[in-house]
Amino acid sequence: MGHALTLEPPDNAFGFGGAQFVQRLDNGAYAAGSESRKDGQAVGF
Amino acid sequence: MQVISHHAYSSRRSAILARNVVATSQPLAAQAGLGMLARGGNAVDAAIATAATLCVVEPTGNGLGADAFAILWDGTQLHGLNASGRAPAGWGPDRFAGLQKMPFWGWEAVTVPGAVSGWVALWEKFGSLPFETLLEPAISYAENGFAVSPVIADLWARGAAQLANQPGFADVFMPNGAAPKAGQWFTNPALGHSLRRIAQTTGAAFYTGDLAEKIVDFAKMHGAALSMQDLADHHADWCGTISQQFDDVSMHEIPPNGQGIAALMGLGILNHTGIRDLHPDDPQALHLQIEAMKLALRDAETYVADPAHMGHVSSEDLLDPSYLKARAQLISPRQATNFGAGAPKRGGTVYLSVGDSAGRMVSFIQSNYAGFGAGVVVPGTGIHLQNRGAGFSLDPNSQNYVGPRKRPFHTIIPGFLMRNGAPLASFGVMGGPMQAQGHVHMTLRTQLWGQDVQQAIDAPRWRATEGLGVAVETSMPQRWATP
Repeated sequence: MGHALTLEPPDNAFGFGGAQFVQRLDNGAYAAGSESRKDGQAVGF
Repeated sequence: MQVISHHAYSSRRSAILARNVVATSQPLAAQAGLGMLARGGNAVDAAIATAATLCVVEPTGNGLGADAFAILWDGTQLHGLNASGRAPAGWGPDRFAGLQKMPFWGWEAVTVPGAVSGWVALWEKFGSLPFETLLEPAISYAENGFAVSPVIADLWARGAAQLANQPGFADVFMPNGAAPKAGQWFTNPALGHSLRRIAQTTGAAFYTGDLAEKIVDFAKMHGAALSMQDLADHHADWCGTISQQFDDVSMHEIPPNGQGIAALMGLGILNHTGIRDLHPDDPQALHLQIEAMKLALRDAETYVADPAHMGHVSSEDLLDPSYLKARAQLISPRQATNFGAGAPKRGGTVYLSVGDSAGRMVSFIQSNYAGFGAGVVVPGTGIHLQNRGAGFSLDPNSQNYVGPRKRPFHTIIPGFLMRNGAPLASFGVMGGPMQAQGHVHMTLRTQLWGQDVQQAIDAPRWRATEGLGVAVETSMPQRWATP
């Protein structure tokens, strides 16, 4: 299609950013995900 | 044992399911926020505690010299906060005469730090625990130390290689002459003291008191323009949000001076394409997203500025549905087009998301811009300053032309999704030019394609760069290799 692709390893930690995502479920609890390319975590109780 | 940042084997995670959650890029900081929730604090208390702790444990992306933004659902309505600082009053056009672009490192890139004002603004309106309590974990890690985590250790080494000669940097961030390695114990007692002063004075020490004096004395020593008046004049603004509908979900972003509008434009352009009929990893789905983001980013780079200076092209103009539809028609279904987009600089930033059992949700982002920022560390304070001044343009015709007391173009953006008037998701993707496109990736994967939050994060990523360029991760599916 004419895109000029370059390959970068996923551990190039800032190149592809760091996502954190909390979504509310219908029952009032949350589903939380944390970037696997970084050191962090999602935690809860 | 040697702690390493590069995984030799694939690792997997499940989504965390609970009534109270915190997610961020450093585990000690996530747990500092969770600790506030366990003590009866709310999501805003947790966000402030996590943000303050990140200043200590992840200096490679943020610190007391950072800016910040937040979007939050308070239980009944949505709020937007712009806690980004402005240019010093002394940054008239003559100051950078003869330069092609803004300085990237050192004092001449330093704008007023807004993050501390953001914590205070959030706490004054929504906090429930005492402000001093919220900073306790950060103070403890600064004074007693912590073991440096592996990815951050990598970024630390890269930052040290670039910034070792900047004023004050090596004294604080290169103990014994080198960046700390993963697992190495690191203390920053001066930063602990600064955090104590901020806690005791609810931020006043930083903008009008003893910390402000130390920052400005060091600025004067280096001929920088930042003054006591610049710090005293600073205020964070409750600015609301701007939004874009996509099916039954609306994406909310902070209005300019940030690039959040590019995520809204990208989603608004995709509204008028065949994206809904495609599988998430179909090369055609990638093609449409890449083209939509290139169109959106080109406009954001050209027009986004301090809203007080967006006289010719406003946010409303950029989000006009008929304009976005016309832009969508420029996308060729089978061929990449060079829309002339230029990519903004890479960033070092931290992002955190919190939800509490009363339904409050906070999306919060904080950054020194490029890695450690300007590299300038104010002696005796542990305060390292951002290089956000590099976000200005030196083109006099640009809406983002550098000027006194003006806010620069900003890369960092918190994201938020609503559905039928109710809060749905609090999310963000740190990392310079990745952010607006990351918001679109995450929204489509979780909402259009029904992926769970962790799956959407783990999926291989791409990043539209300049011209026809697209960077993709080496973990991408084979069928992506031919677009």
